[in-house]
Amino acid sequence: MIKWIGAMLIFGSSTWIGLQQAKQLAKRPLEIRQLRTCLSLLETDISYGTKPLADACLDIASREDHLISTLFAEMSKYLSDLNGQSTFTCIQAAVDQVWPETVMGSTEKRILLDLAKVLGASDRENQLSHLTIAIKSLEAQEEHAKAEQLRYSKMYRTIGVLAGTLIILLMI
Amino acid sequence: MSLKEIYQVLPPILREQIQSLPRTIQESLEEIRVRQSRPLEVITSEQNWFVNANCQLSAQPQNPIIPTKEDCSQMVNLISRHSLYALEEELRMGFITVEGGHRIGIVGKVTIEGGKVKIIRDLTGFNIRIAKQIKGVGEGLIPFIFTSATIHNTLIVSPPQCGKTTLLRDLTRIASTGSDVHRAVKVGLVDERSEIAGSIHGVPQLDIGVRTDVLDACPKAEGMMMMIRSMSPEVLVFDEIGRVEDREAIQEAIFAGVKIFTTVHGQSIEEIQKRPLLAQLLADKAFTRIIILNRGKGPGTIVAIYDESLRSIRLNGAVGMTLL
Repeated sequence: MIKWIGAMLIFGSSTWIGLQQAKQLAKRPLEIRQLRTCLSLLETDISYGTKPLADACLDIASREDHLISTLFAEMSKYLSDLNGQSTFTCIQAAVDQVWPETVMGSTEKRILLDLAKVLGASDRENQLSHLTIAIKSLEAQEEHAKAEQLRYSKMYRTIGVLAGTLIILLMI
Repeated sequence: MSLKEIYQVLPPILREQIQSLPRTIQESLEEIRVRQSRPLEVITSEQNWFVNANCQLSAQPQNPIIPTKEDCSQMVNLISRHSLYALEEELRMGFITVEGGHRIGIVGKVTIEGGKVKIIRDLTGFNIRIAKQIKGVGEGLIPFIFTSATIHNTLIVSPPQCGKTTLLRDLTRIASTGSDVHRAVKVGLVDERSEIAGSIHGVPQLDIGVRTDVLDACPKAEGMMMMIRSMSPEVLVFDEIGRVEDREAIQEAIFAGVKIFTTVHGQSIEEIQKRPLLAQLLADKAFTRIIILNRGKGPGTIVAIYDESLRSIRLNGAVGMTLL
């Protein structure tokens, strides 16, 4: 009896791990899309051209939710509080703090930090072209993440179930 | 006077230096000049000083504090709040108004587009001009300018740094707040260089009276017409007349029954009479009060007050008094 309960537990947890992995894969394109939307909002603010970066970030934070909201709220906080440190340093601090909790990968991080190097430091036109580039790159990443999700999420789920079954068979 | 807003735009290293200057110097500060790779300079109402290590001041630099490239870029970040794109207009004009109405003049490398200044980049020189509102400086002039029946068209004539703008600002405040001898009137202020009201995003930072409407950063002649059309002012205030279209606008305004307060650079009535633009206005008796200022007994010394026929007015010994 106890043997069966143990077996069920192993099977259950292994399946759960598989499902979680699949879920992570599904979350990544969503987060990238959220980030992309935020940058579009920032684009609008900058093209209108009156709002300081910190205020724009705070506005975006209030319009989005979850981690992306936290990311922009932190950016806004560092931009206002860090005593004239470079824009890049401020944004990097926020990104380093929030990134580990997201499911986004290093490419997305690099796109955002590349943008941070020029953000706020040039005229409107230049800012907009950099934002467009960042948004385009994120779009490509999103497509990539979606393709990955299609390809692997089913596999992760199946592997979860199969691995559970395998361990049980080995232990019997 | 609070220098808090000034400290906010200084990079930490320079902020410390300025904060530890003697109190008397801090109180009489007029300008702080930051130039990349050259000595830090402060200008008080009496003298200019270089700031040396250990906060020693000297007329010639000795072991001075030298702002670095890093300091300048931090300063840009603080002034622009990480948003140069929002300051395009200001960077084209060469100055930025910050909280408190203080103005920061900026130089650096200029980018040209189609023969016109597009933007200043590589910002390397800053002149922080500390806005000082001295309320009440114009009160001594109330009997000369305001009567219960009317308000005089007033021209303030003075060389730079003699309190012209300070006086104009206070007269604006008095006109729009009212006094013992006149009721508060509607005032339209065309603040071409954002100096009188020190507006940020259109909101005045200095006290220019409760009934004053401000058109910030607008060319004078155009602004005057806009004001007359839209805000029905009883008094129009603007700074530094000098162009032909200004004269036309002034005549238009006076014809419309609007009173005018304005200023012009100059030393004396004889001198301004030599300038075609002003000669014409004076001949037309456009101004019924002309106030001449200099620094004779400190900034804001009233040298003379003339009426429309250029006769000197002497009343209660006000001539020769200093306002500031």
